[in-house]
Amino acid sequence: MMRTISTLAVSTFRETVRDRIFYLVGMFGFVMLASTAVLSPLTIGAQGKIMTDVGLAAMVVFGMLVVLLVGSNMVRKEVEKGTIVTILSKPVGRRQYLLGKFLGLNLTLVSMLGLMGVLFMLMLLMAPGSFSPAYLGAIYLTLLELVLINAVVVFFSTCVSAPLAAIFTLGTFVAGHLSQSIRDFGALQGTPFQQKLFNVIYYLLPNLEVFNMRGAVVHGETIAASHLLLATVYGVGYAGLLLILAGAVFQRRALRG
Amino acid sequence: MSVQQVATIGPRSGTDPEGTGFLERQLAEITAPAAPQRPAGRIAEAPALQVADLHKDFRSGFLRRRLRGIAGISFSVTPGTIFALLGHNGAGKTTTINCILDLVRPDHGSISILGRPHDDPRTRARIGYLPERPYFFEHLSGRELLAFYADLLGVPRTDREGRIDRCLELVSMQEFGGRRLSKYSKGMLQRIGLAQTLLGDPELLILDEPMSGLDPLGRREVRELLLDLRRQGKTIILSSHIVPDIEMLADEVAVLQSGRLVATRSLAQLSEGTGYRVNLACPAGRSGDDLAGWRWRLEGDVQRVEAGPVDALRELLDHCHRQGRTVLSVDTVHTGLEDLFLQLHEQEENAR
Amino acid sequence: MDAARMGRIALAGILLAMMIGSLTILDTRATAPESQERLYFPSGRFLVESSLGFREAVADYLWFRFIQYYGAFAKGFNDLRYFDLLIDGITRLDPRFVEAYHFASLVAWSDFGDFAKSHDVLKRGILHNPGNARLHFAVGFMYYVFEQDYPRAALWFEQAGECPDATDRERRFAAFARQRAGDDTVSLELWRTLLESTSNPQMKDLAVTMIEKITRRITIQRTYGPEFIGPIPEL
Repeated sequence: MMRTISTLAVSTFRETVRDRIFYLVGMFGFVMLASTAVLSPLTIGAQGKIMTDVGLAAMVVFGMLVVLLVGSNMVRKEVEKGTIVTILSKPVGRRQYLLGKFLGLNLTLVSMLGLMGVLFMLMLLMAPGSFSPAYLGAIYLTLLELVLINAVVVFFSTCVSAPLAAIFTLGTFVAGHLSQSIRDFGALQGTPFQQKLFNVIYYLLPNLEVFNMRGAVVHGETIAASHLLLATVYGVGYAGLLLILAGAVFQRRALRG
Repeated sequence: MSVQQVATIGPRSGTDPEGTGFLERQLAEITAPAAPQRPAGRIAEAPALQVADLHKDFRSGFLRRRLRGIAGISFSVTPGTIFALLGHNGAGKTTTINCILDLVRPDHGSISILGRPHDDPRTRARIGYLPERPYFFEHLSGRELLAFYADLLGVPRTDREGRIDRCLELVSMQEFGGRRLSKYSKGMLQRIGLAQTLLGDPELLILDEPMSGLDPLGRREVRELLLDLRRQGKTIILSSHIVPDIEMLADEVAVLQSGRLVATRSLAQLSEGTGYRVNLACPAGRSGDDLAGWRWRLEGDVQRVEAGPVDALRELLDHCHRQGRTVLSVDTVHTGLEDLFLQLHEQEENAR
Repeated sequence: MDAARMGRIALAGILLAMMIGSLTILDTRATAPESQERLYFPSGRFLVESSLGFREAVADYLWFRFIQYYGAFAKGFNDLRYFDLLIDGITRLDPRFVEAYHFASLVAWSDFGDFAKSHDVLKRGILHNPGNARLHFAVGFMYYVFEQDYPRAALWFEQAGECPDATDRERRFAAFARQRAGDDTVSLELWRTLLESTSNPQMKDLAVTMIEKITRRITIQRTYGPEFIGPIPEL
């Protein structure tokens, strides 16, 4: 079974790479440079801060682009073209297939963020005094966040069409960053019922701020190892649940008209 | 119709110097049983595939109208035989196959493959499937594609290249293995599709329109390949709407129409529909009216007369001899499958 | 229900526990009093330029965060050090965000005791929203209840009354302010009006507190006579 999943994951990875995704990485480098050139006159003395801000933000943005555009289409494309049929006529379970796709896209994310991270570090080294190993932690958390969003897009793509899946995933991303605010908003409300309701919503939505240490790191703070651990546990738990749900839905879908 | 020229009786004058004994001998030769009957498969074993009372509805549009589907399909396939699903486009062949392969969940019914439940992925290790319009990853080469499927099948790494070579050889694609699929012609894609069905050395092959896109040479190669596979003891399920292909290959045929199984025929049953046709010389001027009571038609200077079964043939040849007609040749005509197909189609049309 | 399915359900249960457990722990750590709010907000100007056309949306988001931030401050979790930055950001992104100016001015007075800052915020708001009655009214409000500068208050109320979107309220208070300079009942009215017209819970709280205070003062004055205008003893 492991071999099946790894074969699918590697094949998915190769598919996404051939999708010219890695050109996005080049765009990232350009964005970094451009932002440094354009924005540094405006931020006197804060050049390093701007670069790290933009750099870390760009990782999330480009990572999200990959997840949304590639991830939402992955399964749908194969169903529509019929390539999935020859795969599933082999001894491949539907859940294994989904897992393989998910892991394949994760591989893409890891390599993309890896390359971006290296570029990022290099640029930091050029602006003296900005570098700190805490950035690695922030990048790792960003990767976790993207993996979680990957699970979200896989889940939605089993239920609805590709464009809808992308939209819902984007919505989840936004809501996920606001989830704490939503809960606090609920806490200000009157009735205990409303408070409980908002609390439930809070747990349902992914709390993506858990993975957002970008601001802290830019201010020179370090990330506690326990936080990294807890965030990993949270991310794995949430993504795993979504995948199990997605598997259940996918198991029942008709794949041919 | 499938026509086989079994015997050519040279042009003969009306007189028969050797007497009717000669005619008897010729007749015996013509009507001698054909080459040994095709093996009927390993009947003693459990069926390679058993489908019972399969139902699947498809609904479409706002009102969720029942668009098409299958109803009450049941059949079983003897191991070691070639089983054909015959029907027009939309008759339900592909839907039935999709149900068998667990790509679509039937609303009702049971399916067992090689004695195991059909929805167990492990069963599929022993099946090879070729879809109707095969689509593959276009950026891979033929070899890379086969390697991918081999990995999914769990073929050991050490064996892999050897198997790929063999499968490419079987479909005559050895020299094109390195080329990208996007550069393949339709025929080549079909062949690669066949190759991937054979990778796992499956016991059961399910082929949806395996001859589509192939030129006559290709079709013959595939036919011979399938016959060879059957000789090796494999079971093959074919789906097609082309009668001649099926007649040449199938041991048993199931005819589908509008989602229903309307008839099944074994090879033996099809052979019963055998008839004969006598071709007579009919030079210009000769009226041919002396064959009143027989169905005939004129083609140039040959008069073709439908004789029917062996007894009628005997009678016709006697008649011709007495009339002094010259017999050019006798043809055996299987009227079974295509006529059956058309007949059933007409019945359906009339029923509406 | 076969073994594989039970295994999946068990796995789902474990994952659920992991998810809720880790999140709960993370939450308690985040709200622990020792951890200062980890906010990072770039300067208003940077925000404006990087918001790329979504300024109002970003302003709304910041406002949302500001409300939380203030709420956390009310519970003692931070010291409101980012107040200026936030308000600056919000008002730069969306200069017509009237509620922001209003609330900020109240906070500036009640939590920082800084009337000048309060006034400043409102003035900036008026700069960008010249015809807005509510802002003019707010300035008058400030003068009346916080500075007890009745003539100025009346002036501002009248100006509010002349704004295009003025209602009777502004004119009424202009009249009151002139007639009853220093009268607590006017102050009481002003606070009551605020209480009714706002949906911001913190502003409501402030209004309620002030109404209580003034009511107590009125009661004491009635009991002990009008000379008693000193600080109200806390009961």
